[in-house]
Amino acid sequence: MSAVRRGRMVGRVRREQRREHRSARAITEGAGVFRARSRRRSIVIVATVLVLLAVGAVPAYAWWSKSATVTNSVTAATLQPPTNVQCTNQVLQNPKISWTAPTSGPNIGNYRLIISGGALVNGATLTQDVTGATSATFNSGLLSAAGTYTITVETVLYQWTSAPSTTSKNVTIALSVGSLGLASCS
Amino acid sequence: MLKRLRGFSLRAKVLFAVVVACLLGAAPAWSYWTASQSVSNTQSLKVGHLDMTTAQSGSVSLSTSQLYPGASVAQVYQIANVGSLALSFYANGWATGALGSGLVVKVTNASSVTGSFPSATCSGAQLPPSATALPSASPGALIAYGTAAPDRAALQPSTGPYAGSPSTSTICVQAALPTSAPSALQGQSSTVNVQFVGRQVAQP
Repeated sequence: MSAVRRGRMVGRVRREQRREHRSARAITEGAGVFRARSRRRSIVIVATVLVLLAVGAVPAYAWWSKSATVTNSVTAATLQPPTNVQCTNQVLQNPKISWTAPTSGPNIGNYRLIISGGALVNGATLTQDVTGATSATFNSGLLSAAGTYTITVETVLYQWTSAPSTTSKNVTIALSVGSLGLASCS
Repeated sequence: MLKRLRGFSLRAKVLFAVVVACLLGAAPAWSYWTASQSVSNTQSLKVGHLDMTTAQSGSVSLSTSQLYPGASVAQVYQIANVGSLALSFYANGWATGALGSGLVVKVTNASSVTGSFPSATCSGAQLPPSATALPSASPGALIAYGTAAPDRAALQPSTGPYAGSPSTSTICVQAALPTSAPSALQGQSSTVNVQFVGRQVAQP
């Protein structure tokens, strides 16, 4: 065998040895990667089980139960307005406004006069509260201008108020200077 | 005998000695700790059925009169254990309808209503958890006693092998409209629901 052929043969043998070496190393690394992944998976599973046991593991139990429900109806009342609103002139004082208490619904005897019209514009109103009576002298001091005003009456119960009375009376103030306005029924 | 052994090698002599030791009863040595305790208490198992009724059922009108600010209505409910096992109960409450949000509730264990409309009341101290307002939807709020076993009211069966006392209990529910109730509640209505929940006594 010539030296050239022997040299080629030796080279081929060395290349095959290097290829086999690389192949063996790849197999070893692959196994290592597989083992590492397998270990990580095991750790994750164990950790998950431990977390579930620590956080969500409650003892299971059951019991017998019986319930009964009773329903109760309750209704709120509606305040009724006074009726028969009247205006009576009085000597040297403002007219007396009187009304008839409602015959149904709750009532503790409190009322409110609602004064509108006259010099009150844009739907403005003034009120005059009356406690424990079904009449009151019209308080013209609430008003500062002459004019004809309409008076209705409401029933009052704490924060509740009824609808205005369906009947109303007019009171005219001919001249008003401060609180000296003198009114009369009209 | 010993003279005969002189002719054997050392290895054979050792082997012979081991065999003789085994044959003469060389058992493995071991020991352990032990403790014992006698249990004197016994566990009992009761078999029966759990049942509970209220003297009132279905729909009840708290009052034929209509509520208004400052007025109150009241109703007494009787709860009875009609099963054969002990139970304990608590009560929930909720009020549907526009009027429900304006009601002020008081719950006691009075056995009768004090006074009459518009001042019908429940006497006695308010039961825990001292709820004064009712939510609008089921299951509502706890209005009497507690849901945990030690906080519930116990009822014994009235008949059978486990009969005991008390077998009935009363709950008085008072509903009032405060003087601060808004005028918008006029003419409104509500359905006040009272739910009694009974559970077996051994339940946590």
